[in-house]
Amino acid sequence: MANVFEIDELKVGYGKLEIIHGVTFSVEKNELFVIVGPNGSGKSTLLKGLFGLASIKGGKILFNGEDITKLPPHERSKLGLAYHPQLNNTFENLTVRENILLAGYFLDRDELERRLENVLEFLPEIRGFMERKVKTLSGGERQMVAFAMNMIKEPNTVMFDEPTAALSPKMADLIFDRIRRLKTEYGLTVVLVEQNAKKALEMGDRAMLLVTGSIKYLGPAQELLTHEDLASMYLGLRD
Amino acid sequence: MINLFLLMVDIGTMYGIFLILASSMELEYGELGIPNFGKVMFFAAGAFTVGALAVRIGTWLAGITWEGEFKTKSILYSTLVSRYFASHPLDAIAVFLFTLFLASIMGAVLGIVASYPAIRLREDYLAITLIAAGELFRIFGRNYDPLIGGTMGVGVPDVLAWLPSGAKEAGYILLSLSFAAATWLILYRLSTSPYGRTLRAIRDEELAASTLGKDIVKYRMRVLALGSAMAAVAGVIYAFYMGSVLADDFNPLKTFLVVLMVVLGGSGNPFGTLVGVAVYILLDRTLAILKHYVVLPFDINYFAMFLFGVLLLLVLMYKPEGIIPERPLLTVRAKFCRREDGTPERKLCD
Amino acid sequence: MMLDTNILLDALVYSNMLALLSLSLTLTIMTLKVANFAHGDLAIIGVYGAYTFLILAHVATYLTLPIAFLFGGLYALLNYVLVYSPMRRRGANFVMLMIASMAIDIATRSMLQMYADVLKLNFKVYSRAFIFNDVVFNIAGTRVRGLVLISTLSVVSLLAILYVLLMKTKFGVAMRAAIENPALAEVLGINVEKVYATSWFLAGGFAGVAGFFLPFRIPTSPDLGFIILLPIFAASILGGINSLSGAVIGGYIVGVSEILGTYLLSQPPINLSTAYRPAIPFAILILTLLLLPQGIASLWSRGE
Ligand SMILES: Nc1ncnc2c1ncn2[C@@H]1O[C@H](COP(=O)(O)OP(=O)(O)OP(=O)(O)O)[C@@H](O)[C@H]1O
Ligand SMILES: [Mg+2]
Repeated sequence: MANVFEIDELKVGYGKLEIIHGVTFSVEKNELFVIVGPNGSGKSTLLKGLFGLASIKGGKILFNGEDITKLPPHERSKLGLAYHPQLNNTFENLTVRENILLAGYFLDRDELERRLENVLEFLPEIRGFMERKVKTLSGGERQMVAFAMNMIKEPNTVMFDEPTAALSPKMADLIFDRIRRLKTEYGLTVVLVEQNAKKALEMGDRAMLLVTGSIKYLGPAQELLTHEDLASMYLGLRD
Repeated sequence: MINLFLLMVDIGTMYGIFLILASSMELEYGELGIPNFGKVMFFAAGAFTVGALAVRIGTWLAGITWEGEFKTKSILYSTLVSRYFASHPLDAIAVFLFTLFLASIMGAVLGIVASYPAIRLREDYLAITLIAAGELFRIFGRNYDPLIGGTMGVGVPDVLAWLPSGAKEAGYILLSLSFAAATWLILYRLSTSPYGRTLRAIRDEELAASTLGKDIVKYRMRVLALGSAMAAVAGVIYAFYMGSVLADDFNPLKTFLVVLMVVLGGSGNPFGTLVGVAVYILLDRTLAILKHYVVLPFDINYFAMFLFGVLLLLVLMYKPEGIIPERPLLTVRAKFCRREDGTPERKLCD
Repeated sequence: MMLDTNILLDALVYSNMLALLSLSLTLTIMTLKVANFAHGDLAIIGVYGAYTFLILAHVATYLTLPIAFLFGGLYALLNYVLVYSPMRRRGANFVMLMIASMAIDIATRSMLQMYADVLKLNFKVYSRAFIFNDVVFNIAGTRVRGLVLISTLSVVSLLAILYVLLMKTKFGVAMRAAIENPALAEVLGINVEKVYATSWFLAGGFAGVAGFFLPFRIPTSPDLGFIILLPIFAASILGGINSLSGAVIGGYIVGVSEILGTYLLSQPPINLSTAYRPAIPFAILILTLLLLPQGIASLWSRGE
């Protein structure tokens, strides 16, 4: 029961198409679990499957011991699972405040205010643009808004899909820092999909290498980072 | 009492006329994916050509001098011309062929004009543009008396007046059905040829089609020209068969009925068109006959239209592929791509 | 070529109606992503609802305005819940949804025709080409026609209500979110279907209110909903299809051009028949699609 995710022979796809071909792995409580792999290998698809946004073709997902394989996304959300999508993760035409309020749609006013304070403490950068429409924000600022939208739900497990894609190294470091703090300070479990493999693997506990929908590596993150063949072949990492 | 012979004539002729219209719609929408909601305009173009010219040419051929207004006298003169045609079959045939020729040119030209918006606009904008254009065309016919007699309509001389009665009615069926058969065969040949596959590839936004690049524009233009010429031919036959042309007859409801037939039969399959038109005509005639036997607190014509609307809705909801579905394609179908705001985009999705 | 105030006031009233109609059409397009060809019919459903109530209850005409809202709204809601929503769930494409709206238009108008027959038979009233008699208000010594006053007030208050709803309430935020990105809204646990259904109810209600004003201006019949479709589309497309404020402004531009244009063209020396009136919205439609396909809203939202 110590495992947050217990995934067994999971197959995920779209329509008739199968993208993830039966993967088996688990994610421990308070672990930072990193998923890396080349473009199009199915990382996003796997996360969507875990959150109920892509169709599950087979296998089983246990979340904190409960079978969630067939649950719709909002039910999974209620169990404390949060998902930070790779694309379109904010509402462009709404202000930052509206975006965050929307994420906490089912909270009453007082609770929302209380949580908002906590979130702003965790992501104080947002204070500067609370009333601006998202479409006027930079990529990094948008990622922070999406981050905040998940935090308002006070989840126990967060899945990030490339939260630092196309960000400046400085901004990426800031996001990485907050993700690390989720684990260390708040005791959350984090699943992190990253293109920025080096950074992610350095701070991760365990890692998975996904290639064309199958697991090529599963084990300690540091080991993958220093793995002779895999690191250079799939991740573009030298030495 | 219902005259069985006349009923058969009516069903046969109307089947032919609507089959031409539906075939042209199937060609444009079913095969190429352009829903031409201006169909009635091209149909009207054919009928208006006949209305404006047949009686005028007829009086000229017969050597009758016209006295009085076109609007008020056209019915009278068309009767006189019909009488002349009864003894001059060659003149009658010449008038028919000439107006047919002119109308198809008119239709094709209008079709090319319509292809300009058809290539550029998303389908709902295109639909309202074509519907509105058709309505303005009708309003023009209704208000400009010298064209087709305005609100009074215009008489059309009987080009088969030289046949004995009985044979004449059969002649109209034959005329209508043979043109329908020819049109349908064109559709069928196109649909089963490599050309048809190209059209469907364009419709389904396939990768293969996008390599055609600029040619796609040409394909669309040609198909709309052909389809519109077909509709104009239907208008010519309709005008001669009815013996008159009334602008208000060419309202958007006609287009709707053609769409109903195509969707009901199964768009993308020429055999579906054959069936769709038949089902509609039979249903329509049955309701028309029922009219004589049942008493309702409202006009049964409205009830018929209501049924057709609901029927189309039910088909769209529960059997969108129609009675005879399109045969599966040999090529791989790409996903219908939409922009963020949901509007269709003429490119492949990723 | 004198423009008297009556024509200007008529232009105002007509534009008020058009603004409500194009605004509500735009609202439905934002949810369905396809233009609804039965939108004009919602106005007629509304006015027949009000008219029926008038026949039964003999109250002051303007008191039945809420009935028009209710009928238009409920009918639109029914359309959405029974047809569009299930069709979309089954994966219907753009053109199929559009054809469905045309089928609804045909069914609705013929239903109204049948209803008109029944109404006439049972109540011995005019059920087609009927008109509403207006009242005249005396405001600080000036006589103002009720239609001018009430239609303007209705537009102003409905716009204000919609603005507050969309901008100041939680539900409004959810509505804008569900319109912009339904998938993400769903992820966040918002019931997108419910939000869309509400939009349709509101849109139908607005259309119903617009329809209520029709018989004060012109004899009203079941087919009128189709006839007014062209100016509604022209206004909505001119407004930029995805902009509510654009739709309102588009409504006023098309409305005023249509009334004044028709009037001026029918005067000497042109003497054109007023039957060509649809040519004006048609011209606006074509020009917009050719010159400004994103509508006037693109003029002020470009900078953002
Ligand atoms: N909605 C969809 N429908 C069909 N196929 C899809 C869909 N989304 C993704 N795919 C396909 O699934 C495969 C895996 O895509 P996925 O987005 O999971 O890759 P990824 O590993 O996240 O890549 P990246 O690093 O570029 O984000 C790709 O071949 C992609 O084309
Ligand atoms: Mg991805």
